[in-house]
Amino acid sequence: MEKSFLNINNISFSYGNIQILRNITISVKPGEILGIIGANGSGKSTLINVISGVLKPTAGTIEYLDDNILSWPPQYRARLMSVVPQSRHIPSYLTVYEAVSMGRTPYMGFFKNNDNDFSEMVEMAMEYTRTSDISQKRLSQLSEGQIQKVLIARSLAQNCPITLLDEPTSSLDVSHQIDILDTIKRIQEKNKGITLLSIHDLTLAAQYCDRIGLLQDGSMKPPGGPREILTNENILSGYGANVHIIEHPSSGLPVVIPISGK
Amino acid sequence: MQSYRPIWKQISIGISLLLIAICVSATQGSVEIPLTTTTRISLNHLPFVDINKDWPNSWETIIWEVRLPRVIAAGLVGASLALAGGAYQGIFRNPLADPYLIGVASGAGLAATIVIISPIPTSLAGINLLPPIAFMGAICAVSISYGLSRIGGEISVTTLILSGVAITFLASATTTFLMLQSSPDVRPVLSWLLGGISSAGWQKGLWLMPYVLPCSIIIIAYAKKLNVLMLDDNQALQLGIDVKRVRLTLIITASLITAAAVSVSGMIGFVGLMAPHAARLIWGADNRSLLPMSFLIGGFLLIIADMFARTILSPQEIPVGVVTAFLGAPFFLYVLMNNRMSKTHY
Repeated sequence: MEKSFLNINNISFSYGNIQILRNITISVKPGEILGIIGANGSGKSTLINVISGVLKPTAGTIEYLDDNILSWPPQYRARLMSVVPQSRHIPSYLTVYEAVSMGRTPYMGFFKNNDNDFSEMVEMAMEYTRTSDISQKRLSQLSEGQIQKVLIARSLAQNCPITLLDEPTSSLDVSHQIDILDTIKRIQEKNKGITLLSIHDLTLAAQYCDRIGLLQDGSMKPPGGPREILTNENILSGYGANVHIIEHPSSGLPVVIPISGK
Repeated sequence: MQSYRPIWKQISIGISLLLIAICVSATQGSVEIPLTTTTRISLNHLPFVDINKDWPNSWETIIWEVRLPRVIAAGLVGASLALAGGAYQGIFRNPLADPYLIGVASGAGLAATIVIISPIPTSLAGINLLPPIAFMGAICAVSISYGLSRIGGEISVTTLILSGVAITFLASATTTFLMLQSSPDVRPVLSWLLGGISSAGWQKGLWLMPYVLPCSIIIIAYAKKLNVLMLDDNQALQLGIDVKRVRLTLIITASLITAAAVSVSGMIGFVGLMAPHAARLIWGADNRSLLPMSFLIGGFLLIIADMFARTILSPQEIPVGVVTAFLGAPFFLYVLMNNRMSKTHY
């Protein structure tokens, strides 16, 4: 195991007697985007919550730089790993600037509100996500896609080597989906960070993720490239759906086409 | 929430309003003393101020030994309850949280009543025991209502308010029962309970200071963390906030400041609800301005309410809790209606 990788080792999680995650092992290297796919209820959100520290796993370790980060206090963990949440549970009275600057929370001291890199990081984050010109707007005035970009900007301001995104495209139309994923890709190419994202759309997953892990009833086979994972058999067993898989005319990556009926 | 806001401007407006309220309130009473003289008498007691004395000694006594101590005590009580209310509203992400509504104040009241009517001494080695004992009552009450509202993980606002109301009723009933059981003359306890700031020299203000000062500083210092906590527990944790610890610290501090206020003045409802709402309506929901402004507005409101309590039926006094309830109940209904119509603030 490389120490600069994010190594998720044998993670299990259960609610009481119900086991949600079974022995998940994933290793993600810097500069890589790893997509997590799986049917509703397969444990995608739970996995993101366990990695981000919201839920405590019943077994397993998560290591980075030879250290088990599960035991880190929240403030240190938030300097290592930022999370772009799925929920729209962000108060709409906030302005874009206020929401993005919350990304600097892990760096604030008890008496000193703003750290030294504060303005630089916040402005960089807004510039990178192209939200600078709406920085004084309130979130209540923005579209879903714009709010998602603000949340990405917030995680960028957090300046972490590891980024988790919980279904960043789930409630967006196709142009915003592409916009968001292009933004994520652009940031990834610049920062060479470790990115994990859960995603529903299999074709988009194939185009944007370097490797994909398929969650099925809380278990995951070793993640692999899009061609390796997105096969008829895997999708039938993972989702119970029959699909056609064809090649993308320009990238050659798999395109998943649902077949209606059985 | 770091965008530059001229918060000092708001605070100086608040402080000016408070000073005006203090002086105006001190002019009112059985003897009416002109505003300029009141101001000059008050200023004369400040260090390094020396004003040529041209007023009768009796006025000096009335202002400095009777009215001002009471006005200041009222201001501190109002400020404490308002700051506690603002903190509870943030911690519970609930615009209706108020020391009175979630049962904290009545828990404190019950504990204090037990001490007052029982043979337990109310002070030990010169330290007044009422605030710490009221604090224990307050903590018990908030633990019960908060514990109940957490059943099932996420905090349920409805359960929080309902269990707070149940605790308030239970504590009040117990208090009444204990009072009737113990003493042939219940009036002193009763008038204390209904909320009253009787004049007792500077003593009451001095009781309050060791609680109000540190607690206010702690609560206001947590304003930015409270802003992040308003997102939701998961996001706050992912942004590096130790959610459980911050919440616990703030609940304890807010309950302590509430208990100190209750042990001086009895039950004064609605200040803790009105002041933070007024601050939110005028200056927005950023806790870094909301909390200090709630503190100042709370002080202002209770000074004015206490002035009415002293003068409306003069020479008889009505409990200040009655005045705040008259003002507060309609305000509470207004907040409820407004909250139903738009969810923009929460």
